[in-house]
Amino acid sequence: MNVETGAAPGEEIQRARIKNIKDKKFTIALVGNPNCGKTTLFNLMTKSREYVGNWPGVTVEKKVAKLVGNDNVAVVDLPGVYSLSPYTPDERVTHDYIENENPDLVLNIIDTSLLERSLVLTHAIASHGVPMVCALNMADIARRNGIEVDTRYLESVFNCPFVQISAAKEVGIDVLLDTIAHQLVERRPSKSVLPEDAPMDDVRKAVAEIAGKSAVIDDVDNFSDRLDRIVTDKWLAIPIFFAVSWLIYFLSIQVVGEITSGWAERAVEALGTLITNSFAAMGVSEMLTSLVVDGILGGAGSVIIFVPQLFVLFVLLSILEDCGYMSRVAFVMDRIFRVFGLSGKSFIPMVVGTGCSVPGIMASRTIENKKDRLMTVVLVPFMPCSAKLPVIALFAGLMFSGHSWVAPSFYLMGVASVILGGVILKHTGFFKQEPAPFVLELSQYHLPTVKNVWESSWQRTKEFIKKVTTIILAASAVIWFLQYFTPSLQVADSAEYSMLGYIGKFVAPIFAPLGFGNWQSAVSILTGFAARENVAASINILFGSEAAIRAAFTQVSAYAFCAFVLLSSPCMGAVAAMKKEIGSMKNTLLAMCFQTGFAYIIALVIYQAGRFIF
Amino acid sequence: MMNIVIGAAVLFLVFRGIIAYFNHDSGCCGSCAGCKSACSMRK
Repeated sequence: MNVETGAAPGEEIQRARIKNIKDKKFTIALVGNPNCGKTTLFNLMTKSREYVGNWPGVTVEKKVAKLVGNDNVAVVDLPGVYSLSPYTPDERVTHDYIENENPDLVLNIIDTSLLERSLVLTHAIASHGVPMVCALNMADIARRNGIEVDTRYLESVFNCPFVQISAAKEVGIDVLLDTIAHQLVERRPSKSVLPEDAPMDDVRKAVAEIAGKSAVIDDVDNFSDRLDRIVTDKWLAIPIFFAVSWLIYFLSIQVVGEITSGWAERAVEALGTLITNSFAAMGVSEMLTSLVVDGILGGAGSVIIFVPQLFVLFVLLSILEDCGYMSRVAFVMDRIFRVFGLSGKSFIPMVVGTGCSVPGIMASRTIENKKDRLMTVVLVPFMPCSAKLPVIALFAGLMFSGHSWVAPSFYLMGVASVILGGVILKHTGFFKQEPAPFVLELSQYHLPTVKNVWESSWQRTKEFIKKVTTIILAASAVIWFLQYFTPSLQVADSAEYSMLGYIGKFVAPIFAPLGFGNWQSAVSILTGFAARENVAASINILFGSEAAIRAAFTQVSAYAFCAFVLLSSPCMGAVAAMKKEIGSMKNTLLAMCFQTGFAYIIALVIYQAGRFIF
Repeated sequence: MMNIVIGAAVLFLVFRGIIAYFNHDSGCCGSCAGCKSACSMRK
């Protein structure tokens, strides 16, 4: 069971053993502290592609999948917990599962570098007497940091096997699977040195003693410690975070945008010409040609061209998440957030929300304090999710060519809005209270694995492509229909007299003080409520050309427009997630009014101040 | 004839998108991370 060598001799025989468990169905529950690598191991054992991040709270619901090579064994990934006393909603999922579902085996994953704290949970599970296998994960990193663990001693204390592995490097997995197979058959009950209801102080004292006897630690000042002294420095931390954010958005939106947008636009144009000519040759009606070329291709096609930019952004964000930097940012943000009455724990859902607000809103479940949790649910949609980026990229390319600060500024505007929104909410009676203490372990930095980065980036990109080719495509066709026909279903002489034209003209005056009082912008904002990608699609369909967009906006009004799209009430999917977390429809509507009102005021200030200054 | 074929194809794509949208809104588009979690919770 050596992590350096990985598999033991007779690897194939061992692998065959777990495949051969066919007598009955088994359930293995994956349990461990937050951020100990459970989901990485879960993905490895089940060939799933669940989202992995190097910070606590990535898993907030249980996930079930079949073990690779044996459909009789179900593997359940549970949210990370520090003990089995239910505290937050995600901890309750784990607690209830162990207490009520009686899994055949608990696979307890331990971050080897954080042995003492992990043993508190090990004690809690062992005191239930459930058969257990303990996987000492990241054993390679611990060894590099001078930590040697005596697994035989731990086995004798808890009466269960301990296996050293590295899930990220797929080392020691065969030995682990073999040990699990043994335990499933043998069902040796684990035991603890203390009873289940022992006082926490006694438990801590006992596990400290066990950890002291089982681990030899050379006090090494490692690379992570040295790097942390810089990136979490009182004065350097924030400038470094701003620089990193700027670099990521600059590289993906500006640099990649300049390289790819030209040929991507030309490709869509060429496809449009090809379809127009082919349809004309086949005798397809003009109206149907317009629907396909101006509607579907003009709408969904104009959004799909941002895929290269989004993919690069996702790759860069995944690298930051996987290497461990983002957990440092949450730690740094805690210092700032606390000044404004928020907890740094709110920042983690916001990082998740940069992909999509829905999982970001769900990630708020890791926050114990109910008021902080609800506030985070309301504030997460301020972050620029992947659906808002096409709008930002569209205007950054069209109106702000050569201004590298524009795209990154919206990320920083999202963070600033979270702080400002939090301050406002804290001053309302309902949310007023002291922020909860924020405890976060900073795991060791590690080189991001190509597999993790690829999986994470490709999953997000695939979701975006799927959404554009289904939902946005349908929405583009509906938008085309509404701007092609009049309310009496006659072909409109001009889009201004179409159904959308009338709706837009009715709503547009509301946005006039923000600098975009034209009906096309008003309609685009309305369509964005169904799905944010629709905003970019609608802008392209309704204006019809880049020149028309440039004529309708000034730089200041374009910036105010993007700010409103960024901060106003999120799409229906995110609203549904908000309602699920908030609980009542009335409060959800209040939250939406707050978000939209906030966006209106910010956009108003940007436009009016910008007009005055420039 | 071509009008009918292309019209039917467009209608198919539009209905496919509408179904995807309503599945997404009910919490289970089955593709995004949030929906996957929601699905596993409902199960």
